[in-house]
Amino acid sequence: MTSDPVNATVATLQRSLYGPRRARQEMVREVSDGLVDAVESYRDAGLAPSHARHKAVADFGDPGEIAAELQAELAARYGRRAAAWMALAFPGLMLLWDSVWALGDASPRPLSPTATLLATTVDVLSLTAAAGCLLALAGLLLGARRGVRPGSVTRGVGFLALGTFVSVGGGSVMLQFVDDAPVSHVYSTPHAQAVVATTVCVAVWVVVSAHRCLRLGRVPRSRPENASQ
Amino acid sequence: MVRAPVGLLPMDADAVRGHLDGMLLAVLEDEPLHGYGIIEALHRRSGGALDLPTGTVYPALRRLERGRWIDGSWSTVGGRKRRTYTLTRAGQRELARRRSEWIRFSGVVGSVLGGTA
Repeated sequence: MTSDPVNATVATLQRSLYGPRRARQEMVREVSDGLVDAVESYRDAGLAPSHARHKAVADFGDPGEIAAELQAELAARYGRRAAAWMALAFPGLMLLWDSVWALGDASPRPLSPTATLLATTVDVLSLTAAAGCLLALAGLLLGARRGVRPGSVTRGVGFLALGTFVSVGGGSVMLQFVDDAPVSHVYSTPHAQAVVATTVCVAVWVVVSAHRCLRLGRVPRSRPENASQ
Repeated sequence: MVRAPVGLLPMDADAVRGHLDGMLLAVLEDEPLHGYGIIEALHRRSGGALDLPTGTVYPALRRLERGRWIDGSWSTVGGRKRRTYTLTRAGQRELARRRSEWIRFSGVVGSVLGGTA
C-alpha cells in the first residue's frame, strides 16, 4: 500500500473498477490527470508538496463513491455495445437459418404445421429480442438525460440475452426433431454446416455477454476502498 | 479547487448536486475544457462557494457525454494529453432549457421567500 495519498486514491479506483479495459483505463487516467492538476494548483498557490497532495485528495471526495458512479458508466458502455450487437445478431441468425431452408439444404419436403408453427415462434422470439435490445440501447443513450439507471438497463440486456438463448436455442433444437427429419440431412451441406458453426459461436458470445451484463449491471451504491477487481 | 474561501459560506453539496449537470453544461458554453479546467471554472464562477467533492465531476461528465450533450476526446493541452469536453448542439439546447427553467423557478421561490407581500 502506497503512502502517497494521490497514488492511493488512483490505486483504489483501479482496484474498484471492472469492465471494458480501455474505457476503464481512460477513466482512471482522466481522474489521475485531474488530481495531478489539483496538486500543481495548490503548489502554485504556495502549499508544500505534501500538503498540496493531501488537499487535492481531500477535495476529491470518497474514491469508493466516485468509483461506484464511474462503474455505472462502464456498465452503460458495455450494455450499449452488447445491446447493439445482439440487435443485429438475433435477426441475423434468423436470416441465416432461413437461407438454409430456402436453399433446400434442410428438408426435402414441406414442413408440417407443427414445425411451421415452431419455426414462426422462433422467428418472432428472435425479432422480439432484437426489438428489446434496441429499446435497451435507446434507454442507455437517452436514459442518461432522464436519470434512468444504466446498471438496471444493462442487467435487463443480460436477462434478455439469456432468455433469448434458452427460448430461441431450445426452439431451434426442437425444430430439428419435430418433423421426423433426419438430423444428419440438415447438417449434410457445407452451407448448413457453416450456419451451424456460426450459430454456436454467436450462442457462446451471447452467453458470455449476458453474464458480463449481469455482473457489470450490479452497481453498488459505493464500493469499499479495499474492493478487489 | 471547489472550496469556499474564508468568509464565504459553502453551499450544501446535496443541494448543489441536483444542479450539477446544468452547471457543467454552462461552464462548457464558452470553450472546450478538460476535467480540472471544468472544476476550476465551477470554482471561479461560484466565487468559491461550491463545496462539492471534485471527484463527482468525472462521472457526471461521462453521463452527459452518454446523453450526447457533450463530446469528449483526448487532445494535447499544455504538452500533456487530456480528455477535453465540448458542448454539443443538443447540449446548447438543454442548457437554454435549464436556464429558463431555473430563472422561472428562482423567481417563484424568491418571490415567496423574499418576504414581500
